[in-house]
Amino acid sequence: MEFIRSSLLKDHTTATEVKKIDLPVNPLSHLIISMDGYNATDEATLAEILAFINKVTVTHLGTSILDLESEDLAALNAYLYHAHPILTNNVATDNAARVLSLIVPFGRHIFDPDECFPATMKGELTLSLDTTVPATSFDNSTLNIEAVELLGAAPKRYLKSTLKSVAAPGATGDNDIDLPRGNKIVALLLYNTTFPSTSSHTYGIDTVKLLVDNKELGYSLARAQCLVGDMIFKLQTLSRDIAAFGQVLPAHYFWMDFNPADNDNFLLETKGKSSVILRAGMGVNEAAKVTVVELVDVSGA
Amino acid sequence: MSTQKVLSFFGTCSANAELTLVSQPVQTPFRVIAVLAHFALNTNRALQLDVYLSPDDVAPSSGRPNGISMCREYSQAQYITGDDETKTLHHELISPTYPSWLKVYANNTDAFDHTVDVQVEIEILERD
Repeated sequence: MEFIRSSLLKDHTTATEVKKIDLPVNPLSHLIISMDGYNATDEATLAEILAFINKVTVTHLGTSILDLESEDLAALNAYLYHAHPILTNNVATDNAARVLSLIVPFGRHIFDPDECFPATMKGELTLSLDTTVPATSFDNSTLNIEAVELLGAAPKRYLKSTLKSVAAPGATGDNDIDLPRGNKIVALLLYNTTFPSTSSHTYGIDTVKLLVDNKELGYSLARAQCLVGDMIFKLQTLSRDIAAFGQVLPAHYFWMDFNPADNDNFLLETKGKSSVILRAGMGVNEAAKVTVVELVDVSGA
Repeated sequence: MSTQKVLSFFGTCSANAELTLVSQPVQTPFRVIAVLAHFALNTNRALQLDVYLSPDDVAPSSGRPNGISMCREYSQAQYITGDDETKTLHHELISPTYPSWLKVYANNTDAFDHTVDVQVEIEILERD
């Protein structure tokens, strides 16, 4: 099997815009989005640089395949690739050159001919990159985007990653979040607005429970502290929240993993279910975000 | 047999403000068939409307909602406007995900309040 790695955007000056790019027509493994620029005065943190990429969206004929804010994409990268996104030259020197790269995945593993986005016709698959011109902490920024196509691949499934915003429920306690049905769920990445740093044990989402057709399934009750502990199975470094620790994402995230052993034995099947509910025990009455990572079957079986 | 439904959105967008109206959850896959946007007399193309397909029901008090904008796909402007007219948009879009929500986003650039009056026709599709 052959692959083609090609450049879609070359040294494009980062602007406040929604940049649209037609994606290649062959089966797609992943995209690489790199933002480079210079430190402005002192070290630009990962969170500060990510803030200039507002949203990354891939649509197929107008339907979302991936629709995430950059922080959520960074967390998804951490979950999938067991490492934090690459950010070079972490020094405080003014004008030090920095590069941040994010991977836009169409499968859980790169270069997987069984799990990637199927071939399309020109114009059907589109990337939208919503950016803000960097300033204050980071400047002289350009963007480069590349794609990896797998020639002749006939994927059986692809990865779909969408962001579900959750409004403040009005009170602490149980908040039922309706999850999408029809596909297998690989993981739920949960963003907590409140993540304890000093003199507090409280998380935005303190506990989680999964109800399928109104019966507990899998996660009967899991607490935030232990879900943070689950990161040891996917990440080589810990989640950190305080600026002095380097703002290493996923600072405000933990996840509910339905593929903990990487063997597909525990994927959450939602096809044919009447309801799939994430019951979040809110420690704080506040908004949250859930990134739903699904596998879409295209095998025709 | 196809089943068609109309989702109705109605509200008031204050002067120089934004408003997001959210449907009830649609618990099946569906196809958007048409969008009907009514613009009152003297709206003077100052009321900008967009329709979103969204995986959640959150209506932000300012800014665009989460989801995929129908106007963003190929358009030059990410909204439609009008004055004393009804615009019918035959924009077909399939939502395979369920539940999902339709949202109407309004941005009123005028110094007067304006009414948001939109209907979206959908066709319910079979679950896989």
